[in-house]
Amino acid sequence: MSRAAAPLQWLTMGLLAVGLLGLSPALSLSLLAFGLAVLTALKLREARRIEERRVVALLQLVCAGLLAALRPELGPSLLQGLAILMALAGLLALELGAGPDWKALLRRSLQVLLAALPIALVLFLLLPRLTPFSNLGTGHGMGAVTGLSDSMEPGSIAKLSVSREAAARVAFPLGGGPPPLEQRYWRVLVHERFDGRSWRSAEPPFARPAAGQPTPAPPPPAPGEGIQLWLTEPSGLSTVPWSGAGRPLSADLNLQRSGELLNRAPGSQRRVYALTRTAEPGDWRSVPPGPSDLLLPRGENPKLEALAGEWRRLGSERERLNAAGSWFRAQPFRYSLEPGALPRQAPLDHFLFETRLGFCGHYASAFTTLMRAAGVPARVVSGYRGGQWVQPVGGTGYIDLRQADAHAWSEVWLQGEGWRRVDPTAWADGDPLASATAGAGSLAGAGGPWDWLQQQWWGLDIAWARWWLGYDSEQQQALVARLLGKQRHLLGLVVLLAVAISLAASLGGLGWLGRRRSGDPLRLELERTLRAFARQGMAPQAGETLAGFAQRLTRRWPELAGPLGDFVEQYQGQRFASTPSRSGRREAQRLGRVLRRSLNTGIQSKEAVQRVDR
Amino acid sequence: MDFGRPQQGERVRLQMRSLYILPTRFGWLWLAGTVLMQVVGIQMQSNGTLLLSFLMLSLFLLALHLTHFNLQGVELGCGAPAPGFAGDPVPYPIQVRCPGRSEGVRLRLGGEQAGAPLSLPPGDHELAVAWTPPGRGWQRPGLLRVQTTAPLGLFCCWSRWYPAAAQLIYPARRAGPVRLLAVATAPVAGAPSVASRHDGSEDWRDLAPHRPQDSPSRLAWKLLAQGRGEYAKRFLDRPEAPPLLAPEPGLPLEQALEHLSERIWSYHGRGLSYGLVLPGQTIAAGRGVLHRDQCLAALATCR
Amino acid sequence: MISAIGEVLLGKEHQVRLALACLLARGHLLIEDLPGMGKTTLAEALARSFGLGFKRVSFTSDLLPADLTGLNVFDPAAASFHFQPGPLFSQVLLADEINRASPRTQSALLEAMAAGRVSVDGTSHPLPRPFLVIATQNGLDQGGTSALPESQLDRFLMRLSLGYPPRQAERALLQGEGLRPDGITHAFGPDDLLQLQERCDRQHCSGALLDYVLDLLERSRRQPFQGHPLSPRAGLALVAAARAWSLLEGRDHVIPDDVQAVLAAVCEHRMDGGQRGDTDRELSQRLQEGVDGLR
Repeated sequence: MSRAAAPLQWLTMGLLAVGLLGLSPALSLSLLAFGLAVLTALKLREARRIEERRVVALLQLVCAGLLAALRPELGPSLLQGLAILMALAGLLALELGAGPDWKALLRRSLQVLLAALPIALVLFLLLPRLTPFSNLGTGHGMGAVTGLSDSMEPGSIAKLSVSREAAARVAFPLGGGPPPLEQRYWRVLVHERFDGRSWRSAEPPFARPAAGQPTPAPPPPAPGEGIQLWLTEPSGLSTVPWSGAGRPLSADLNLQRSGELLNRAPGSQRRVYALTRTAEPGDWRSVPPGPSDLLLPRGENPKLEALAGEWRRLGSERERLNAAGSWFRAQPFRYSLEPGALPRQAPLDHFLFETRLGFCGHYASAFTTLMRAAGVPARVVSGYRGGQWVQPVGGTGYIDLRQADAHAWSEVWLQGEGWRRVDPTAWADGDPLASATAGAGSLAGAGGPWDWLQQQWWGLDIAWARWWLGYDSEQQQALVARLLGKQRHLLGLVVLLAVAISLAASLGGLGWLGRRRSGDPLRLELERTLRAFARQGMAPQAGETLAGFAQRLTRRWPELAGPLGDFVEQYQGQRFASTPSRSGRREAQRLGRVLRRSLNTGIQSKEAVQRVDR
Repeated sequence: MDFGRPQQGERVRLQMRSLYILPTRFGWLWLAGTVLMQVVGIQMQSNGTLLLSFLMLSLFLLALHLTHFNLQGVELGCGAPAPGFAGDPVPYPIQVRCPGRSEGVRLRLGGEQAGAPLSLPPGDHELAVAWTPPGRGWQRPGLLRVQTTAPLGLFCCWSRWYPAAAQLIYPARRAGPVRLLAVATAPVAGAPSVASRHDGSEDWRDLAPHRPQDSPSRLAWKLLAQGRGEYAKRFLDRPEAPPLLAPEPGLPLEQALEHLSERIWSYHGRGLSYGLVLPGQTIAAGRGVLHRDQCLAALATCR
Repeated sequence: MISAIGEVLLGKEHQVRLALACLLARGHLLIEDLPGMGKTTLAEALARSFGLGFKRVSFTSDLLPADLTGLNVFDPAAASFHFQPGPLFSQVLLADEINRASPRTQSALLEAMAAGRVSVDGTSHPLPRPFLVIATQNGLDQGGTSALPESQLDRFLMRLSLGYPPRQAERALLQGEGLRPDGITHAFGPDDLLQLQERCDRQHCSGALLDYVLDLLERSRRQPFQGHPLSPRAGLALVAAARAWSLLEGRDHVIPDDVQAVLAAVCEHRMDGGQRGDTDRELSQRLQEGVDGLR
């Protein structure tokens, strides 16, 4: 057992522990992973014999596998890969005797891993995927997450701080650029209940029935159909952002009647999900409003109700909407992140008729209330707006959404059209989106090198999610179809053949690495020369030194005395003198070549001597 | 893992026919882990877990060959075994010629413990494998087991061979009485005074402070004249002719030989001369490594 | 200079070189041979060629330690003791027939050799530098001798045996062509010797060479029943002697050939425990053949 075995195995435990850190303890599988890691650590602590240490290495691999199931993103995957490498090095350390140090072990581990990878990839890519045995395991233990963001209360916020924290990234794998800036609205939550101060979601969202698909068997999408690929940072929300078009590909995302994407996995984890095109676009848009979409606390904002009462007299809902729009545009509303708190008494009146200063929440809230008062069903939607288009080096572009891009807007029900998005903030003076549209070019270059690095990393993350996490049963079938066409029945044979070929290639590669003489190039040169003499039947005797051997050689081939003497002198100078140099080593190698050539040409050795002299 | 037809012969080259390979218990456990990973991967639809499962399977396949390659083509032979004592661990030289790098090679002779795993670079090696010979004479160490589980411990590959060279084993060293010939007054055998270092009158040995009962002739007059005080010279008798060792009569031959073995060893350690008289063989007195080895060899082969 | 000594000691160039190397490596020399082979001549020639003070003590069975080290003598004039140095206080001491002395005297000499100082009645007196003991001993089979124990043999850097001169050289000797040691005019002084000794320490030993020495040591320890294993001190002695030898060869670095040249002289007596086997040089030869010399 190498002395590096214990440190390597403990280091692996450390890596696994770091991987465990980000897990939410709510999932039963992550509890299992925790337990297994603790068990492995205990086992490692008491393990004395090689057999026990081997089992520790295996347990570590299983731990890494469980982690891989729980944290499939790029960063954790790299960590897991490193842990697997180290666990394997620890296993090698048990078997290879006391000799190799940790560096040699890691190198060896990497070699073995790389040798095993082709076979594993063949199996991974070509073997048909089995469907899960049951739906246990996912979505268990989800708690009701009702974060503060579930309710929106703009009036109480005196100053909104701008956070540059990352919120989500979205890529468009089908290609094509991002949607135009004024179309980038990513909805997350719908707020229907208004109590005069704050907006709340109608019901606990997960209790709602699914809107679009009553049967949980969506038609399998064609490979590469995903039109949006999302990566969201942990938010604490139970819904995730989307564009409002298409339908989710993952089984644990539910499209709600209100147009929210309900996430059944806990919101405290990062999520990766894809959306695909759907046959009937915008079905949530045509879901008629309920009575709650007209509710408002009467009498709280008299001026507002009076204004809306005027519009109520207008005929159609569309006209009322237009009237409201022109009213907003006519008033001197200004956008501000520091509007100051609104009074508890008639806050919306205060905003609409006195301060006229606010951010998106104020506008959405006031406008929706106005619409409801005017008899138009309306609701507040919050989510993200805009986002920066990032084109990483050599990767697919994506839109980078920050927390500062959070936004709120309104939706109104128009008879015959369905729910329509209205963004009252756009009517205000100084709306950030308008200015962003104007100066889109200058925004892209903002940020220091750290931001640039982060963007590149996210680009990799997106690519990873697209190519690695997106490889599923359908993709696998498409690949097989592309490779074999109609000869699907040959798949078994092809897999066997491919495994055999990769096995042979791996063994050949490892064998080559093992045979490759490593070590001092000077010594290798000597060995080459000795082999050349051995072919001529002269081998050094037991314990003979180079000088002694050279003497014997000179007696056998007196004509070799010149090159032989030169080589021996140069070699010994390099080997034993205090100042070996690179050029000296090259010279020794050159003299070795000259010597071998003289030996091979035999008779023409005089010329060789002359060559050396020159 | 210890079965299979043992090889015979002076030198043996390990090949397909003479090598056996089976998964170890850890190997089966590893496969179970692979299946577990596969189940988790399918259940969670996790590509990473699936790939790890396939990777473990692939390592299993790879280890089968790598373990086999460790011993494939290795040539085993006997060196010239140096003599040793019965009852003590004795090194037995095994020559190993590796065509490539052989890792984790463990050698085991007879019923001994397997040695530490060795990593052998390509080329010739002479390894000393310890075994404990039961008795004296020309002994063969029995079955040699060569095995390796490197690199991953998933498989055990082994072969068995009877090394041909016999090793000269001296009788075990056990302290006890021996018969001393040619020492007239050997009172108690086994006392350290075999060279009869009694005070005597022949050889000057040392000076000691003068005691009143010492004879005036022993007084160191020269020193007294120099004013260095009174000293008495001490003399030794000339040692007798070096003793001839012989088996103690009345003891079983084997036991007597063991006593002789110990005695020769200790005499040699003290640099004394001795001879040996055995039934049918006599070795004249002498000393030195070669003399010792000659005497011990005579003990080993004594009938 | 080798040739100068060589003229004194006809036909013994290798032994002269070894003795010189021993001197340069600050080691002590044990010459073991039959009487009349030129042991004393070699010692005297070595001492004279460096202009060193030379004393000779014939060891007999009644030689006392104080006869070597000297003693505190009462000086009636000063009414006090003063130290009267013995023959040990010379730069080259020829200890003739060392195995005739009692073990006590032997160990007193050897302690002085190891420590470079002498303690008499609690006062320690440093020995002169350079300090070289050349001890001779007869073949051990002669009676009335006490053999040097192994621990003390270890203190001698080298053991040489001169052997009979070749016929040609013996003829020259008989013709009276050999030089007498007192005919050597010293070209070097004691200071030169000290300088040379310092240069010896600076001779470069590369890692490859140390590996060779380590392999030799290891091999001697792996060898069962073939002699005593070499101690770390033996390794130090081997490197020191090889350094001196490489200096004599006119190189500034040590190569395996240097080690092999001194191997027999340095290691044989440590391996055979002072009991020379019937076949001469066998152990060190076997040792040398057991280790790959191509480095």
